[in-house]
Amino acid sequence: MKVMAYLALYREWRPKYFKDIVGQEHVTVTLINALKQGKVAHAYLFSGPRGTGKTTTAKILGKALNCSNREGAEPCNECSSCREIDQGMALDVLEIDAASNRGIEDIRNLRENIKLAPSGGKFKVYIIDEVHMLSNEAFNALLKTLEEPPANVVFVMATTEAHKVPLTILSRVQRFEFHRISVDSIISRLKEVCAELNREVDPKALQVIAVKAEGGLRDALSILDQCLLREGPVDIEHVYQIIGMVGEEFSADLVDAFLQVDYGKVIAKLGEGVALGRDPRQIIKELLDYLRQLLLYLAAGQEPLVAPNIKEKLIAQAQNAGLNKVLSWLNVLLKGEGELRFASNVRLAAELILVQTLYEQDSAVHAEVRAQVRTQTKSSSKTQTFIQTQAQTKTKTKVPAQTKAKTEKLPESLPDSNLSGEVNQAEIMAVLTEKWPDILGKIKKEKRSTHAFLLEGRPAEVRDNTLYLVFGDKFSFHRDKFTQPENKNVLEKVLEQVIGTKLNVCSLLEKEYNSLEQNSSSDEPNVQNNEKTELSSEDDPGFCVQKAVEFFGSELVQVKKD
Amino acid sequence: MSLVSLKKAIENSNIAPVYLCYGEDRYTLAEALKLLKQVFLADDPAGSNIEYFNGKEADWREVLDIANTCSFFARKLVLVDEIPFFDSTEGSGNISESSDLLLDYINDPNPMTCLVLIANKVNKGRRLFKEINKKGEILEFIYPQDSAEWLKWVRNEVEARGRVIKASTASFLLEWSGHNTGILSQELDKLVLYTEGRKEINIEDIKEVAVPLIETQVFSMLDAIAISNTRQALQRLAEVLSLEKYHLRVYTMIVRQIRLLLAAKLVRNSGGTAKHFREIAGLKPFEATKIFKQAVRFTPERLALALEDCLETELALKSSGGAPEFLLEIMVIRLCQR
Repeated sequence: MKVMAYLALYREWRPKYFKDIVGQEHVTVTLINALKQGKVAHAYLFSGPRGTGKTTTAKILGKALNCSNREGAEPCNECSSCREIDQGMALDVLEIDAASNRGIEDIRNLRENIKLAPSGGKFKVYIIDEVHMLSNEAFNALLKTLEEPPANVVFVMATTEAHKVPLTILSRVQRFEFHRISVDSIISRLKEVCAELNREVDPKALQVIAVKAEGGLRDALSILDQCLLREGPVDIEHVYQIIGMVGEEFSADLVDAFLQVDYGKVIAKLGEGVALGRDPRQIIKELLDYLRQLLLYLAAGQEPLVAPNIKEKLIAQAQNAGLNKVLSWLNVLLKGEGELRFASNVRLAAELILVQTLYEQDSAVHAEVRAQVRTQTKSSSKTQTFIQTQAQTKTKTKVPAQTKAKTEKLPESLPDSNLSGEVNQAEIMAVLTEKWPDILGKIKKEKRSTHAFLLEGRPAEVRDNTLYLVFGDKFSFHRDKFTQPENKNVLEKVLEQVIGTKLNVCSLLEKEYNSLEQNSSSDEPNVQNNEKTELSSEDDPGFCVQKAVEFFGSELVQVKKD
Repeated sequence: MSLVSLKKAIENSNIAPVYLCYGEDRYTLAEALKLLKQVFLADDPAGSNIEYFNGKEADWREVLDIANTCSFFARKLVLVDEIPFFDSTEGSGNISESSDLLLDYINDPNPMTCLVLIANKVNKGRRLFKEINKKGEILEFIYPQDSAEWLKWVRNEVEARGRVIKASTASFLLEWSGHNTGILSQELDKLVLYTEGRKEINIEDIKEVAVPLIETQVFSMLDAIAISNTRQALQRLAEVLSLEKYHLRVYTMIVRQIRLLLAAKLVRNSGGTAKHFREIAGLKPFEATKIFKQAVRFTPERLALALEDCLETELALKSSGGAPEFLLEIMVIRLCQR
């Protein structure tokens, strides 16, 4: 029994007529008209993403030009010329791979050969694939030939990177840009193939294949080919397995866990994926793809490109999360994805990224809560609202024991009905002390010199929306430099970002701060008075002299006017 | 205009014995050479009276010997491309010798031969240029100089192909495919084939068949950003990314455009004109005018914030902070939210 060699689906289903080319009507209509009117250009450039039909169109054009029984513009695919071209044996249709024939000598040989008349057909067609790979010298050598090729020669150049083709070449060829093929067109072609092969494939599976092919029909057919190796009907899970995906439902579950701020569920879900043999990097990548659909839906109202059963869930999640939350998740995940590539323990790194995403979101919630607490101190009527918000936050948030203790510390320390200013300020101070290293880190990123000056200071207390920053007595230079607006503003800006409210900053030396404490008659020092103290000391001429001595030393120089 | 004067010379059978052709508009230059060749091919359809040389590689003695030799039954056309005499320093080695030989020929050319010298650029101060100017013809091929000239060029080309195009559509084509006669001519050939059976070419045909310039797409993306139309802005970005694979290049184009818009806005706010802006930014007139007009839609504050967003994206692009296409999408979404 003679065994036929297996032909890959994308080769078996490669279009043989212009009318079979999917999604490139702007190209086929023009070429058909050119063939009908005998106005075929002497040089074409087909550019566009891979798998969109560039080489296939070039071959059909080659066949149509040489076909002895052409029907309109379509080749017959039966005459000897068409068959030879299909089998790659034609002498008049030559396919050259520019990636491996990129030198000037190769192009000189080509120039010599084009002088020879076609052996059997009417035209010599040179298909130069990946033409952007030609060297500059080779392009220059080709230029003259393209300007005035012999009458019976047609060049068809194909490339995925048209920007690498010199302008001098572009202005001498007819360029066609091949579009990515739409998901619907790919699905309809895949359905056609499945029906012809008498195979049953779940429409959801076809949708996943079409989306993953990213506009390339060849890729879509290759994936389908692998899926069809399995006997019986092909379902979505099978497609996920073939392309190594965890699936959109998995990503949707992770987003659910994000929305519930459930650390445990996030970690468990990741573990589940790993147990199924999935790469944590792939899990994060797919989560990013899923969040991208969420983002595009929220920002641009684009219909999500996911399996139909997931679409409604995705839309509900998008509406629940809102644009800002999605952007903040993406911010952490995108940075994390880059770092994952270099991680030695990928699972741990992926867990950290997911927890960090939640933690950042959690911190943002608490910053919001703190902002609300401060508002409460100003208006007692808003107290009830705050308590409600707290209750809502508690019911919504399910966190692991340790994190729970940490995150609930803030609300618990606040009396329910008697929210005094002191408690609020003390709370802010506690947060500030805890986050001071983070604040310094952020300042370092903003402005290194400010960070250097601040290293010698410490937050002492917060009163009346003013942070008192105390510098050691030896560090008056640091204090003075920090007092300059360009430095002070950096701290105020970072403080606002971290604790969610605007604080004034008052910088004092240790001795100044201590005397202020002693002189203060009341428990709530008046900031204006403090500023006054600071100002009055600076206004004092003796103070200025003392500062000058500190800066320049104590040598007395007499300056005489001429 | 050089093409017109050459056509006139051909009509009057007044072809000069020596031509120097140069200029940025290589397409029109090639068209002019085609015309000349047609005249000589009419004398001898076999083309044996037309000789080609590359000026950098040719032996000039041989070139001039051939120019001095008379054909039996027809006049002779000698084309020499890439002449080297304006590229290097005057008086250097072989070039000087060849230049002297050529000068001798120009002073006493063979009246039965038309010698066409083609250069990429010329030096008008050189003796060779002055001598050709006296004894032969100099044809400079430059692109149309302003919008009106460009429009006229497009409409003439369309008419020559037996179709019509409205001024607004011609203007759209110029913006869509750029100001390059060679590329425009190829696009028109395609459009004529695509619109078979119709007389008029319209904007939809151009969008369907002609390849857009990346700059045009970036420009319309910023138009969409200006009116906070995220959907449209993302569509334009997708189109840009389908034309240009290098994300950093796309990013650079967007940033350049925003920077120019900010400059244009500041010039506008200080009472400057589009001309003033063009001088400051060093842009071509049509680009400067377009940007100056677009700047009306933005405030300087918004543009400054947009540049901050761009900076964040650049940091992410250069520090493996995610898939580049996605980062650019997020940047566009942020720009629209501003």
